[in-house]
Amino acid sequence: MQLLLVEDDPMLSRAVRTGLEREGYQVDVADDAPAARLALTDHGYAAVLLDLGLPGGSGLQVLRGVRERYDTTPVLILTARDKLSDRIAGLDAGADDYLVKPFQPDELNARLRAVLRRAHGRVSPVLTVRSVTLDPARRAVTLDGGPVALSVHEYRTLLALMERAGRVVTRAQLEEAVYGGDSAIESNTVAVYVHQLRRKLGEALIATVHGHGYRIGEAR
Amino acid sequence: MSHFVRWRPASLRLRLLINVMLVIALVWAGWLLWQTRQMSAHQDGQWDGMMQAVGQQILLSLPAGVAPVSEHGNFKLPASVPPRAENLSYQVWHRDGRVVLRSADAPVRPWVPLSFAQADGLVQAEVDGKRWRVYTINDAEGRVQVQVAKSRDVLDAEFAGWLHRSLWGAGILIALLGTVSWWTICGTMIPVRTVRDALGRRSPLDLRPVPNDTLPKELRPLVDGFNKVLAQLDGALRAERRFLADAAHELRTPLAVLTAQARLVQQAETLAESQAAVAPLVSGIERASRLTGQLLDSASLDASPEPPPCEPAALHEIASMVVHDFDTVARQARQRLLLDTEPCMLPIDVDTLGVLLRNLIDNAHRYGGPGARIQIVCRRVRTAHGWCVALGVRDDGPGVPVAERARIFDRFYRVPGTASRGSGIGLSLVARIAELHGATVEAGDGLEGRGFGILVRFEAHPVDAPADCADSGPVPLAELTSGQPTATTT
Repeated sequence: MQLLLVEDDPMLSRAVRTGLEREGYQVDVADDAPAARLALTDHGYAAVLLDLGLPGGSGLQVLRGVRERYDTTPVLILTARDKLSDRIAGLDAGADDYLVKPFQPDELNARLRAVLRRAHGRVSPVLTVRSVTLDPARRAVTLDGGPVALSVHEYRTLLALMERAGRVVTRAQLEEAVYGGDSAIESNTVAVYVHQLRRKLGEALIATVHGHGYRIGEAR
Repeated sequence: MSHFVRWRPASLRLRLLINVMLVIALVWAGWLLWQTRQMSAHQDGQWDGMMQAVGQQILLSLPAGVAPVSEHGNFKLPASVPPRAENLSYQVWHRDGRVVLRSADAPVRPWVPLSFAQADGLVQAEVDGKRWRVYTINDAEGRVQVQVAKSRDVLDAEFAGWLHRSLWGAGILIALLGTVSWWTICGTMIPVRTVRDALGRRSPLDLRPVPNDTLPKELRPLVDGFNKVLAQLDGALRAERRFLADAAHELRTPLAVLTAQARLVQQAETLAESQAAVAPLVSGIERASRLTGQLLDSASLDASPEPPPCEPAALHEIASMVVHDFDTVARQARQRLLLDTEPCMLPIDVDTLGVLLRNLIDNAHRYGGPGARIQIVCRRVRTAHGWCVALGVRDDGPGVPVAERARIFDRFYRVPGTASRGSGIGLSLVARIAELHGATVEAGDGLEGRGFGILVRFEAHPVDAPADCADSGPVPLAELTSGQPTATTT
């Protein structure tokens, strides 16, 4: 599986690359923004590890450029900017996850696996259930033709439900879709996101199947 | 005009002087106006009386058979006696229109056309371009008329002279008064200058209070306020110096440890030896990087504006985002993270609140021990006045002795005897961030009466009572609010 590592610090990029290669990935390294843009237009990478502070442009601009082309390559941001607002900006720009330096190699591997798993089986045509449409390529959701603003977590929950429209999706499946599974987190947050989605998209859209999970659309 | 109104001298002394002098000048002008009217009325009254007396005396001293005289001049005064300006002029007219008697300076024509209808009267008259005040009186049979007059111009000149003298006198007096006032004001202001000079001579970081026991009552609150600010600054500066010293120590110790461990790895002769030396090296690096992060958080919190820019944000999203970061480390420590949230929108500063939450979870992760359960709650709780959002992190680890709970929010304080070595910065950051958000922090028991828990209540922002939300699971409010909090900071 081929990855692109965009990182300008040679010591860090060498270490990360070695670590990833040990995990069985093939890693290309770009050390500035133009090189990253070039590499991203030429290759189909399985995922991109992106630093935000780059010579020759910001990583966020690179990311926006990728998403503007409807390129859904999973992007994991690796950055020293640890402010939550920076992270929210990164996720809003289309990143799949955000990891703050210094990070442990184990952490990076786990996040990378989760991002790849989430991306796997993602369908690119526009999904439609009743009056709600979801465009995975553009990460855009509309209700009756009008755009709906969703948080990253809400979006992931809705995507997981719409990908399996008509079938029951368990809480565990939804949690995996939101957090990448294999997690130490046990939470009711999926219910919270479902609650928020119902509030934004209509109460009747998502049905609760007691004892099992949730379902979107008519049962098949 | 508006420019004039807005203009104010910067000097308090000048302003005081101008105001005092303005008031004095105004009062004096009013007094002068009143006095002028009085004076003018008094002068007229005095001269009128004199003219009446003289006119009557002349009439009475005339022999009854007096006949008109032809013009052949008057007597002259001796050269050594100057004529008096205040002398009255008079004319005595016979009924047939001829003059009987006339003073030297009186005009040839009568001041007032002869009329015997009225016994006497006071009138203004103008003859040959000169203005006069005239008293006319007729004898009982109406044969002669005496007219006594005083030149209006002389009267006016006399009045003008009086006014002139008054103005000059007042001007000199006001100037004198101004000078004396200025000296007095300057003298009164000496304490202000003393304070100013005392402050001017200070060295830049001299934050001792300004002595104020000899100051006047009006200046004391000002200097007291100033001293209070100085004391606060002094406290802040001391705290910063202490922090810098402590932080230097805190950073140098793990760096020294790292160097020593790295040397051990270098000098290891077997693979087993080198691997044994690497493990503490790695944990040392983690400790140093965690400490660096906290020191940076602390410094950026010190530098951030107060109050922080707060915008409505979804607290439950933030909680889930931060909890996600601890997924890997929790799994490594075989800990379970329990995230229990409901949708909570709150005006908060996302960045500092992220630091708060990270430190709370980090604390629970660090001190909860292996296999601990850590619950992160973001829910509405009941307060004395209604409902507010609360953020809680609790664990079922060994906990913190009740006696220590009050001090854990102090910077660089560590609970004695804890196995995992922390920096003592995390909870002080939590307390400061909570304070910035107007939230209260309570330290209490953890899960099921064991362990340790911290609850942050955003009481500054009341929210609606929660509606029944079937999907968000059972509300563990009983757990959240039970367990007597033993320490509270705000």
